[in-house]
Amino acid sequence: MIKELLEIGVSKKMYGIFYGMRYSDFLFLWVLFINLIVVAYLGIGNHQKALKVGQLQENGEQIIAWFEGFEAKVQAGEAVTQKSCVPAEEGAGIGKGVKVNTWKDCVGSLFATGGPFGDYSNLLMPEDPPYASKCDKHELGTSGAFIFEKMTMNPAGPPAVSPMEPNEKLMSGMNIRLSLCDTGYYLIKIGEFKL
Amino acid sequence: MNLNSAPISSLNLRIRKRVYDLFFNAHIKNNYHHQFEHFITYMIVLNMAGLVLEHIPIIYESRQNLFHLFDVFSLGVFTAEYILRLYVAPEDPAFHSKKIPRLAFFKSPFALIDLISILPFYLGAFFEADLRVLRALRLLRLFKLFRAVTPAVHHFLEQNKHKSFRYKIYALVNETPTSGELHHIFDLMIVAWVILSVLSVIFESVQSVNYYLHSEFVILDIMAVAVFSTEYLMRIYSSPEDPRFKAWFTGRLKNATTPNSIIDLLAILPFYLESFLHHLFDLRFLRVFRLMRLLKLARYSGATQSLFIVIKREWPVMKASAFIMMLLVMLAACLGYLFEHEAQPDKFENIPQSIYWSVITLASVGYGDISPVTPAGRAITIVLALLGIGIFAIPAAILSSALSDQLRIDRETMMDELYHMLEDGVISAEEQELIEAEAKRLHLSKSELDRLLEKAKVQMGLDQTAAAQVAAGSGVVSSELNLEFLSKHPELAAEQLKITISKLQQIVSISNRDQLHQYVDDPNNVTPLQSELLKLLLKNSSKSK
Repeated sequence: MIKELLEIGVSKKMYGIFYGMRYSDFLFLWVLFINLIVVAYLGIGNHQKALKVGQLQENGEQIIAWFEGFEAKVQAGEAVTQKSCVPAEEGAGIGKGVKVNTWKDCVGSLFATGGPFGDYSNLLMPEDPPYASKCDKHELGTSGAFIFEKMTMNPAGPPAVSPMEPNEKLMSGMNIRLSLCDTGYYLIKIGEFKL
Repeated sequence: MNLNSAPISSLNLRIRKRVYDLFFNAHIKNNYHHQFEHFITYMIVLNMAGLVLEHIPIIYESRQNLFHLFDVFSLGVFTAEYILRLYVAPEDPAFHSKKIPRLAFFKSPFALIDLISILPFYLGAFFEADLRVLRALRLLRLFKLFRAVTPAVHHFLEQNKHKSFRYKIYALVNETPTSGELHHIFDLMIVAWVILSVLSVIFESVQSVNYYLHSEFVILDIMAVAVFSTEYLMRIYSSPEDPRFKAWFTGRLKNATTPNSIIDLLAILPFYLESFLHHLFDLRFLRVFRLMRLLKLARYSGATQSLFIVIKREWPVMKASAFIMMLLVMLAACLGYLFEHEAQPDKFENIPQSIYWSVITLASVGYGDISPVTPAGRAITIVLALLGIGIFAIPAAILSSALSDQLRIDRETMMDELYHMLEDGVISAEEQELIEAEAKRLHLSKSELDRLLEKAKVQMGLDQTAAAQVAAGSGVVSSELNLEFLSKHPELAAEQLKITISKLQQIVSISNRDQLHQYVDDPNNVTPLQSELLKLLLKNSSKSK
């Protein structure tokens, strides 16, 4: 053993570390080693989740950028592909037979196959949809989902935030906040956009 | 020409020696060796931090110039260090005896690491080189840390040569007579990780930071858990080496239930629990518990330990004080509820709400969200506010006085230790280190320590003088006085000589003179001086008879 250690370049002083080792010492080293393996295993899992969260954040930024571009096109009166996301002008014939798009139509078309975000999926919970109405720890599938919230501006303080209900009518000038539901079911704010 | 070169060479030697003594000689106290080593170590650590931060675009991209400046500064520092080490190599005992000391230094492993960590950057200035490779080479600077660790490891192994593996682990994680510098390095590493990990938890809660550095925080946490769990296992495994926890199982269990071990466990437990049980329970609150790692630092602070001792000692008084405080809070809350409930049913809705008002008023915080409006309620508030000053001051005064007492006790204990160390008249290097460590723990300045040492020396001197005087007065020789002490007191030295001569005379007078003569005449038995002295004593003894 000593010879082998010396042959691989371990000095005699290093050998001194292992002087008088007993079975319990080897057992301790094994426990130490196993603990490090467990920490590394769990850590790799956590890190992979963190990378997925990072990827989802980037996807979220893409969604914000898309909506900003979309709003600019609508404002300029240019043709848009996602007609279901075009907001109605305030007081422009609402209730007089003019069809107003709802949030369900818009978000559904965006994340549907062939939509601009059709490739996006919930990276943390692949079986669950990529978006949800709220981040709920009782619904495990909402982890990793995008959360869209309607912001009602309040001149006296911070804006009031409420979930975007599926039947919410899309009105021009509507402020929406996009967040990501993280692994611990906390919201990570990605950004805001205007319709 | 030779006449001129001789003084220059002499000057060069003197400068070299001076530089070596100032920055590299570990055996000289009060030079800049430790500061220099610490500075280099900090630079290495900062370089590593810089290397990591450069890979985070959000940090690096907007501060490229700053990173570049730091890189140039580091290169300058490490180059200066290398040149200095090369220059003073002939003074270094490790290379002094070699034929060409500087060549021997140049070929030494540490010097090669030093060179590799700086040379590529100079070569890069003249040749086409991939910048990424040059940057990666900075990782080699980490190996420079081995310059500090390797001697400590060798010293540790030497000190614990015949000790068991478990004892070595114990000596590494705990302060023992054989722990040496390696234990301090280990402690320093744990403290650094605690600070890094706590900072990481704090910044993780800042969304704008966490948004960009989430995966980096996760990596830091994994590394921190790996370090802390290894430390925890090492402490638990080696605890039977401590006489308090001798039994292999119950000893370890007893050790695991000590406050320090519980803190160590709490520092790592959130990671395991969150990983294994997150599907069963909502364990998000455990994330905040990672801040408990800060409590690990209490192990390294003497002041915290003193505070715990004081709280433990003064607990009965504190309990009484807390009881009075509680009584007053309850009484005030009940009266507040009684007088204010009708006037303000929304604010003094029930007694628990009144308790909140009572505590806020007693503690002189006074948020003002709940305040009395009735005359009786206001009258109570006046009394409560006045009493609050005194009541809350009691525990503070008790703690303050007890801490002061504890400090006095600690200093007295230190004085006793000093007396004990001075019994042989000399303070060895080890004793000096112990004194300095204790003085650091008690927050004594250098001048205060010197004053205490002087006091102890004077006290010891007085004791010995008194002993000598008693001995001289009674004509009986007391225990031997130490030579260092006598060298500083010639009158006592003369007295001691007289006593010794008297004793010699007594011995000669009761001995057989013929046999003594025979013994003294044999040159194998005595030295010429001893022979002369003994003959003189014998002659004197004959005369007196």
